[in-house]
Amino acid sequence: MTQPSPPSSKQRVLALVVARRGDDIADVLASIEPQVYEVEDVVVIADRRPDSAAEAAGPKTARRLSEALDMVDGQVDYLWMLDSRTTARPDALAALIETAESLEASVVGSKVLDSDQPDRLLSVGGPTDVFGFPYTGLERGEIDQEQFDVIRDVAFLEPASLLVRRDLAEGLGGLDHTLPYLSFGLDICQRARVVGGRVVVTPGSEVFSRSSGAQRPTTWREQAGRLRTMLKTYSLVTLLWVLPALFLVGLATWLYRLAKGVLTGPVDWIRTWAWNLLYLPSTLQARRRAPTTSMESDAELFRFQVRGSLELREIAAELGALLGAGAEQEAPDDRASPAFWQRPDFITTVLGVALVLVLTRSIIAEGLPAIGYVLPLAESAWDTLRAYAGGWHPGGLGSPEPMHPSVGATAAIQFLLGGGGGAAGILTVGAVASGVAGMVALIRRLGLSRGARLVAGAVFIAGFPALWLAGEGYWPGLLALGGLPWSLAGVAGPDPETGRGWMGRLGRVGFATAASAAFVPLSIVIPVFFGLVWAVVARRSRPLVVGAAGSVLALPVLLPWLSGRGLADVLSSGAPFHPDPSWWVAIPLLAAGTVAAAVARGHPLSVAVAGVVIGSVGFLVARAGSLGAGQETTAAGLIAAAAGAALVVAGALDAPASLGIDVSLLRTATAYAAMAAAILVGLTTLIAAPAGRMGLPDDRFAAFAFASSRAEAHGPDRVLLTGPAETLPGQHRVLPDGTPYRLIGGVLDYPQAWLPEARLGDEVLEETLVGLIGGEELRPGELLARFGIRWVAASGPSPIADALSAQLDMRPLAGLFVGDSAGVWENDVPAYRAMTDQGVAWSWVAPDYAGRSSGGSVRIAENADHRWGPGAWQQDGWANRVPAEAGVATFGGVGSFRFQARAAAVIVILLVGLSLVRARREAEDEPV
Amino acid sequence: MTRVLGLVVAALAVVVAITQPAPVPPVPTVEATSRSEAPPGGASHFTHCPWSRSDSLRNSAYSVMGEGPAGFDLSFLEGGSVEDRISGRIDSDTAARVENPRPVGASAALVEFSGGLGAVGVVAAGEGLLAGDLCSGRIPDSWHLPGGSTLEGESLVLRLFNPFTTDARIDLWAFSELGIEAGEALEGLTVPARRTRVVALEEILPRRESLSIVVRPVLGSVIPAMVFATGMDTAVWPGTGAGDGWEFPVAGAVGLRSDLVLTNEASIPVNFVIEAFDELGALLPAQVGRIEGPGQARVSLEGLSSSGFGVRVTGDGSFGAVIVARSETGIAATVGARTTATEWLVPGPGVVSSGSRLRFLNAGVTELTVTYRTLTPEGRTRANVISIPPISVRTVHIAAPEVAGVRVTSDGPLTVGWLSAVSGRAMFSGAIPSG
Repeated sequence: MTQPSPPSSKQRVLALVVARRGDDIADVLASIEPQVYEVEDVVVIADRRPDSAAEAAGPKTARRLSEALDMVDGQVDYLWMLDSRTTARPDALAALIETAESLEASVVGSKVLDSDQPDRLLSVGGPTDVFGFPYTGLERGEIDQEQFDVIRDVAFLEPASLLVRRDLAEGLGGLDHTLPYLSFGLDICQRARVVGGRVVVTPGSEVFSRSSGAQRPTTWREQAGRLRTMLKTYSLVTLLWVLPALFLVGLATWLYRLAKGVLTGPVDWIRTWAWNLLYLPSTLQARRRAPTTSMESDAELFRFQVRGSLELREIAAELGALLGAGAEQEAPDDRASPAFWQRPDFITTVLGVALVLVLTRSIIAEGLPAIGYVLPLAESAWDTLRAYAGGWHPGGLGSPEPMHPSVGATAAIQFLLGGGGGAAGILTVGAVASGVAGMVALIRRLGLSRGARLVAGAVFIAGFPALWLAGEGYWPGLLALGGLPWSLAGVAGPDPETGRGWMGRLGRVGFATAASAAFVPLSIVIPVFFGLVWAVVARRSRPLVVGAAGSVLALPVLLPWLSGRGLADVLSSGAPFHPDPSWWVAIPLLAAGTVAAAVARGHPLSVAVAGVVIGSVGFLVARAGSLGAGQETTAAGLIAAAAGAALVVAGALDAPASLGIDVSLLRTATAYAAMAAAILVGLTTLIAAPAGRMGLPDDRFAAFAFASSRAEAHGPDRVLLTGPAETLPGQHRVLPDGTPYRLIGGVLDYPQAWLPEARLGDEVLEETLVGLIGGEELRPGELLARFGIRWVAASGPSPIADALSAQLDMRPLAGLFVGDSAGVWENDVPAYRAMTDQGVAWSWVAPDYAGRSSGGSVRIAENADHRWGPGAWQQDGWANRVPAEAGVATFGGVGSFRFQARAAAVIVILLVGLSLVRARREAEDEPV
Repeated sequence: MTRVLGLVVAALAVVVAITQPAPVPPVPTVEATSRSEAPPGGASHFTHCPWSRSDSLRNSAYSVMGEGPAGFDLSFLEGGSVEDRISGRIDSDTAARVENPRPVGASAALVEFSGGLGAVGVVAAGEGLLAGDLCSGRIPDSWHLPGGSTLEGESLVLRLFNPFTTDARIDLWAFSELGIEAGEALEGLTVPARRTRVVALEEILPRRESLSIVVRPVLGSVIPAMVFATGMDTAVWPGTGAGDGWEFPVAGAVGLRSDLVLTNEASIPVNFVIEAFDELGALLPAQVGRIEGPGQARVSLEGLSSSGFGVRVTGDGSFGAVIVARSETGIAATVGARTTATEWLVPGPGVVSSGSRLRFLNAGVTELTVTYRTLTPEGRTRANVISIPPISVRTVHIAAPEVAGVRVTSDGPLTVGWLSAVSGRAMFSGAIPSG
């Protein structure tokens, strides 16, 4: 460090210590005393003056600047403002005076070092954005190597140590004590600039202060302080666009922080504006006292400001890091680079977002088509959750059996999103985006290039396994893609160093696994399988342990469905998938995987080998229907195949780069062939782009809305659907002759997609339909009315529809198109799901029935279960009969299932909590 | 090593995966029932009567029988709705008779049974008219109505009854001595729901000596009946499905010249054999023949026997069959029985004031002991026991006018029919297997 030479003419300096409530000022006073450049006097600026005895013993105390100046004998030239937590080197003031004199600067700041780690920089001043958000330009914990030792004009100085010309300070109207620490400094700098003063930092002046944390600029007090400063210093024209922009930036910022789990964002945003509203009179008063605020003065401020919003840049950088930043990521301070949009990470992010938008644009614009399992969510998320937690399964003729976990998961998300009708679309687009981001994060963690990450992300969500699931209308399969790659990324990640780190890691892996398993339950085994494969490939056992732990932690999310169905049933029940990829997709994928695994080196080799093993085993499981695998098993196989295909493509794309110059030309050429095959596979993901709905087929079930549009006062009645299996929504039952059919409860919604095991009523219905097909029934309407079936709809050729060509009480409705060679019939006989003894229909208000209270009883056309009530329950054939006096009929619930569902919810919340704890800790450590 | 291990595992998995066949759809646990393969017409929960006629000079009667106690609703459908409904109840010792339910004109009715199975027959008698036969129970995929003609002075009308809620669209295949008949008037005929459409064949295909019709529904279902009038008498017979064997207990009677008319709607010919049985049990000569595919065959049974006789016709494929018998003044026709049985419901005998003759055909080689019990609406029953020698027919007279139906039981399989004649007019009718 160079010793500054003393100034030629002695300038008189008053030291002002800005005392903050509770701070001990002994140290700062002690550091003023030995200054090489002597001060005329020391005055402490405090909110309240000490009692006379204490004032006599200590330094002078004033509440305002004018008061302090009055306490000094004679005129002073400069004010040296020190924060109460600051200590200064003996030559600090001398360097400030020298710079001020030599550069004719109005405000001069010191270089601020960490008092706990004196070699670490805290601040060297810097620019701000138009909203006053400071940019330090420092890395977290950056060591002072004199790299910033140059005198610079700046927009902002930390008020640890500021030398201000006395006449300027008086002219500005004094200090603003309502402002917090950083805004206090910004306020002085901005006001000095507005009046033409020069603001510089001189690194030759060194002071020490305590680090106030990376999050300090984002606290609501600092945000409020910056807003007040703008109101005081900007011209009206500038304020006209800055204030709305600030409003929107704040909104976007708190939304982002809310998504990160920082729940105080909205509150802080409100407090910022409320505080300024409260202090608006004093702000306007200060503004009137300001010497000038004009377009010219604004232009002077803009000279030292960066474009755009630093907060938004920070968000963009975080998202970029999420999608693209890896081991080779550039220094984190790049996030504030003016050319951040030119960075590869940002470009990767933009491409990833564009990919998601292209693949889902129809879903975003028009909503989801209704096809297969893609059904609208129930009207009331809360009621669905009630039914999920041990309540009544609405599928078929109902059952106390637990519902599929995806019903609970979608309802919970719908509830969190406010219960709106667009939740299904948001969920789908979110899952696709999460799937891309997760796969990018996984491939990044596995050490491959950005290009490989992005293409792998595309293949994962739009490769043939995912498109096969989509083509089958298996919506839960698409939703499961959102969580799985994050789980795998956690399995493959480096080992944490601390116990807390392990907790966070396991929590995240468990939560991500649960997020996948909630939709495709058997995908719960994929993390442990990936862990096993990666443990072998990477020759370390931890991935297996983490994968197994993640699977175990996620297991409760399958309750109570798993305990109700039993593992054997889960493995084998449901119509299995049988993917049959086109050769022009399969051959390039096989070629890419085989060749990459044969010739690549390093990370690409490991990834390719893991990919071929996981993908091929997943493919085998997906085609194991003839071996007894059911729908859930084969769906999990397809998910694994999707992950495997993505890994294969990533490994193959980086295969050429993994080879050095020491390999043969043949091997290099082979690696390029693998890369070409991988590119071809990547291009196949564009198949889903033209339609823009992730490969989901056209809407088919909107035609069933007739049940609602023609509903009577008590609401929609049941519909008996029949037709080819692929034209029916969700699961279906099959008559002994192979005829598919199912019931829907008027309004088609997702909880009804899954059918419980057939019970007594379902068996009676089957017998009835068999008789109908056998031509033994002339009045099927009379029989179907007992089941509350008002409508029969055929979505295609069906023996049931054929039988309705010769009957007397089902009226065909001409003009209703629900499929080829199909039709709709309306029952001439009153067909109510619930009807009182007097013949009055009750409404189905899922999961209960409600209607006019009356004497006698009401027959509930649901499978008989003694838990229906209230009051004395009677079995009426296969149905229920309960007293009609209460005006409501409810299912009492299954206690054990209810407990399990609640326990699952608590465990998911705990897993989320673990993840958020980790996120908050990291955020605290981030540089500003 | 890892590289090799991974590739081996992957190769094995892919090979096994590729060799996996697509899962087999669930195998039906019971044999699927096709309407065309439904058991030949027995008692049923409902039956359709496409024709009856009443006016000041003619009476019609619906005879209703049940396998056991049952309720029945007789609904007359006209103009797209149910015009009238008559309800009643029968038990095992009664048969109901509903006379002139519609005062004027031709009508069509649907009979529904509740609590049991039943059978219905319609008989219309009066000036220039003695006709009737069974009502149709089950609905086949296509209906065969052989045996018509449209020569000068003859009227041949096809009645298409659609009692259902769906409009029906049908095609008519017509066969005559000219071969397969074609024409726009035979294609795409719409029969509105709950209405009857009348097709005057003598206008569409006039001067055909032998005209047979096959009704093929394209959409929905209809129940057809052929009404054949010569000016002096009328014969009515219902449509039937196809079968590969038919028995006609009433194939011929003294004074009537009978023809057996056969239809084949398949594209390959059907070879058939006709065996005849008379009351003497004599060995009558068998006839063989061939029905072109598609096409018809008319076989004259004249001269087979000097007394009443029955026939059995069997083929190497499915075909439809009708007996049409003529005299100078009368005409009668009936469909056969596709199966033998030990119990029969015979609705209708007794309606004709002059009495009826019940005929049993035992085509087997053992003698049968048969009990027939006459049933009246009031529950007065009378049982008679007769024996029927092998390969012969036996005819008994039913004279009591109050008899609405006859229940027949036997110790072996046989077929049953009945005939009646009054004032030179004649009618044949079949019976319904029961049990």
